Amino acid sequence: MIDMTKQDITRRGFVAASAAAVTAGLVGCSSEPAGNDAPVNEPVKPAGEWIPTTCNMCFNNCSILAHVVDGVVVELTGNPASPVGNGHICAKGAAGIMMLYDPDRITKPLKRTNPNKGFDQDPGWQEISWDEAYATIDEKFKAAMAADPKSCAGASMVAGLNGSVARSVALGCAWGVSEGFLSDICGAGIHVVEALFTTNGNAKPDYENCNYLIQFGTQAGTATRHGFNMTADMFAQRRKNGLKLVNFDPHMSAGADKADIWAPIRPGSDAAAALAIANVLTEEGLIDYEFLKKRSNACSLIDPDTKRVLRAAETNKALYWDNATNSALPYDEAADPALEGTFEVDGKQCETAFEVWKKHIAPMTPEWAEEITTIPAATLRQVAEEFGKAACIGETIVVDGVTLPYRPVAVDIFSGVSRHKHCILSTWSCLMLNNLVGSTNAVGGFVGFGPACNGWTDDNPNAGFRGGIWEEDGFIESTSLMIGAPHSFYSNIRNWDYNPTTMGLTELQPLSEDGHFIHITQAHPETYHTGTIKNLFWYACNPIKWWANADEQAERFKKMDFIVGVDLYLNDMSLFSDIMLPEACYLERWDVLPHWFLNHRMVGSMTSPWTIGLWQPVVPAKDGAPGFLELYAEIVDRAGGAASNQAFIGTLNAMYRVKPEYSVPLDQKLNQEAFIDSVLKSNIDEEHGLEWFRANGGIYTHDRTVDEVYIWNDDVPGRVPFYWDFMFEAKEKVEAKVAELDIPWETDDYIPLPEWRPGQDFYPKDDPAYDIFPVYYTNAANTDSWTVQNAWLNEVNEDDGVTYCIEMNSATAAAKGLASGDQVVLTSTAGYQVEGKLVVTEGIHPECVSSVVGTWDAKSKQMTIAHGKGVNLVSLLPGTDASRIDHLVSAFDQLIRCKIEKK
Amino acid sequence: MAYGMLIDQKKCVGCHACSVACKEAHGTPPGVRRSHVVKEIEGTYPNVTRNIVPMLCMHCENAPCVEVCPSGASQKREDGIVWIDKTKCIGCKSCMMACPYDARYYREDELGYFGEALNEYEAVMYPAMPKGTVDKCTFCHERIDAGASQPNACVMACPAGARVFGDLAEIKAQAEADGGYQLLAEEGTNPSVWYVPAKKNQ
Repeated sequence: MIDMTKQDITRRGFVAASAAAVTAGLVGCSSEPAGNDAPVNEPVKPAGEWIPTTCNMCFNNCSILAHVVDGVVVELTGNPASPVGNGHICAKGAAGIMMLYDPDRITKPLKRTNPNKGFDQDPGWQEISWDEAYATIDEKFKAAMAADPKSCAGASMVAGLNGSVARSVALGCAWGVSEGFLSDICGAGIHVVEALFTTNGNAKPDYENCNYLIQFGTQAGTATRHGFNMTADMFAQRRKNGLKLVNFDPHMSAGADKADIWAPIRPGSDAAAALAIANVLTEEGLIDYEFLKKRSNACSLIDPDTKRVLRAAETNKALYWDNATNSALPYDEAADPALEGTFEVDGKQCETAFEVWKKHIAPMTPEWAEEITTIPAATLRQVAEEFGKAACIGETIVVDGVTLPYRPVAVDIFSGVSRHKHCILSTWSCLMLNNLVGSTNAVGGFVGFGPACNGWTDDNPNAGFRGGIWEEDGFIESTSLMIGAPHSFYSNIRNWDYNPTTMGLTELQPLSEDGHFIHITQAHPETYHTGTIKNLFWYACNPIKWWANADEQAERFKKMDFIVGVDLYLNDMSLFSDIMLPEACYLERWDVLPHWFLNHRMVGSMTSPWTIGLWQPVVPAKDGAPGFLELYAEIVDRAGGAASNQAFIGTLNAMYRVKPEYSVPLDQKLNQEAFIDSVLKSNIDEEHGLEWFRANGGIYTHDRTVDEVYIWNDDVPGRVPFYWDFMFEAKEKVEAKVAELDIPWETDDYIPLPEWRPGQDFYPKDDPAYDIFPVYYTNAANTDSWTVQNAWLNEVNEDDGVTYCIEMNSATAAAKGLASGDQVVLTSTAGYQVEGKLVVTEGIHPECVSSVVGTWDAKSKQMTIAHGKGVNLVSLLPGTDASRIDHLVSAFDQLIRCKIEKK
Repeated sequence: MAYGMLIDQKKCVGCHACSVACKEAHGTPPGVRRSHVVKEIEGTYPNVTRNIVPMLCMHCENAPCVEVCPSGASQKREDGIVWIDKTKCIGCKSCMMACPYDARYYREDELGYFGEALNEYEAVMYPAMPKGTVDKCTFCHERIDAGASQPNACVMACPAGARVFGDLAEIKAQAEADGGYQLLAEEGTNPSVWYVPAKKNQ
């Protein structure tokens, strides 16, 4: 099956390993190292200069070069000197010019003159001065905060990630705003489980060494996901070399396009498929027993009555059965721990966690899963066996002289699994397959994007981070995404007081990283004893189109007193805003560290060094529109002068790890270039400040060491949770708190081993006509709201004949008397409707319809290209129903049944 | 030496980067898609595959467009690159009729993507795309002639590293060793663009 031989890996310098090496004969993307000459992007247009900067057409922030001639950007390419993008540029990135020069952009502050807000209302925008805009906003927010400090909130989303963080800090330091209105659901739950298993909230297949990859609900590396421009190349080469790809997706998206096995799955059933694979692995002994003993808590002895892990009296350490001494000992004292069996401890017959698992998983057979998933049992069995056999259980490999486990198989997941009820159980069901075969944190397996860092030079550890150890079970703890600060879910469960301080009620969700529950509390503030947000400052997002039915969301925003937006465009959210501030386009502004501390969107591997790229303006901003750093510095300075500046810069200094000797003056308005210089010098060294970056091509790299890529070398301690005993503790504490507060809550999903549980619309209810599941996806040319309006991407979308339409299975459509070209109406069980043009296809599950969804079907007439384009399937969903929210991780259950009719 | 290109469909993810990178490198006006991606589903659910074919001018050895061009605008260089001398093109579209690959585009008007008013970029780039003439992929010959080491915008952009440009003899040898094929080989045009099919891994 896999026609490659394992070879020990030696770290190679980036240049030698670069995919874009040039030879005399063949030029281009040869995949093998072919020479030591770094490829040169030579300016072939007669004049101008090539300026290094960073892309922001999506949140991956690839390094790019802008060709500027006479003050006009005439071409954007990838920057071959940078591992971030490897010199490639995607369709979105290449189309950045048409965002920069889009005549629909706003470049001056505007205020609304028509007090009536709505999708059908013309706001009557009137240009105002920056002075008036800043003064009005400052006055309104100060007054609102004085009246009710919980009445103000900010909103932003992941594509404007760095500005989003700055927005949150600035609003806090300027006015004391602490609430966030989070509509961008991203990877709710997924980052949590990835952090629990790899220390890094963003994990991925070790593409360069993987031989067998199973994807659930993701098309990572073929169309999407963090570091796409970096993974696409590695992944493509590996497929070429024989990697077998299995893709579970109801719609034939890019992952399924490239898959060797496409398993069209009924939406909302991924966990059942994964558990069936786990069943086969367990039944057939395709298990890495040594991994489970050494790298998990599967040996923990379980109390038969409470189902809790037995623990040592004083240290609270988990007890294992030690075959060497025939006694129950703390996990780190058991020389020969028993993985299987039942043992008498204090008069009770206690099974090991793995023994409990075997009984738990036994009924979850492929035949059981076939009923739920519609995937033939034979396919699930085949995939399980191939996966288990390809795992090379027991093998090791030497990387740069270090012996490491070699398990060249991985299960990868993303949004398709996340946007459901019981999200954490589904995420866990999928990713634990990596634990069963020992591929978690192994070479070729499932590893963090940047799980550990020793610093960006050999002698300055300032930028470093590494997860700690939760001693009671020996579990690895995590480091937070982007800022790389120490983080421990176990400590949170143990030490939080669970008193809600935010309207997202995150304190009641110790395993969550998302505040999406705010959508529920805002709809039912009395029930949850929260206030109501009346003033909103949104930055670079479009929350009215993200969360659920747009008209339902509109009613909420209409009721607010004062809304300020910052964006390049008058998007749909602007229709409900009172003041709009323009931001500079990414090609016109500065940013600090494009990838913060490089554990989120930069793909870490032995051939992909730590990379710090310069983000600088390549042309002046139109009408002097500020970048977000300038804009927030101004807001903070105006709000409170020296005291506010001190809070703002002090917080930023802490987050960016600025050393005191390099800090900009704390009491003055933030100077963005000086601040960037201080961040670079603190984290690299005195030499590598902003001037060095400007003079030396804008890219700094530092090779990774083995322990930064594969955290489990040799005898480094650390385990993943196999039996989630901490769920009992969290459940008990959450239940006590919600009882005290008298608020309704769900805690059923706090269980120690994963299960598949159906979303509320999974099974049909009363009316059999509701027999269609809408599923959305995105493709490589579109992301979020930033690309909807782009003239070139729109041309691609219009040309492909599906992006702006509703896809439906040919046979299902025929049975309903529908055909391509029909205008159809989808009606959800919530009563919401969406219309669109039908395209029939063989590439979709018979129970589904699908469309590309980001922020589509724009109502704003000021976005002349995006206006009316696309189908917003999200609008079929009710967004205020608590039963649709996963109460553990704030995930939103977007599975809803619809009926489809010809218009 | 003649130039050729190899496109590996096993690697290609159909992301349209080639298409948009070509557009921005050359400033092609609305509707001109020198480089674009065609996708077709083959088979019946659930046994389906999607055939993803990045398209461009095939720079045929026996180029029907050159043969039919009445004005001598469509020409073939010694290095095999087929190009159009726009100063000679009379816009008769015979080449478009002759091309089996639909690789040519006619510019009807002088509109930009936002109508008559060109944006800053379009104002710089579109004078090289005169109204009433035909346009097509040039293998980025301007950049080859200028000595660029990575001349092709599509090759450089490709996130999946699916494209290789270089000596046609080597391209052909590499393609044939990997089960490669030419599009519409039966037409007898002998394209310089070779494809390697996306076989499933077992």
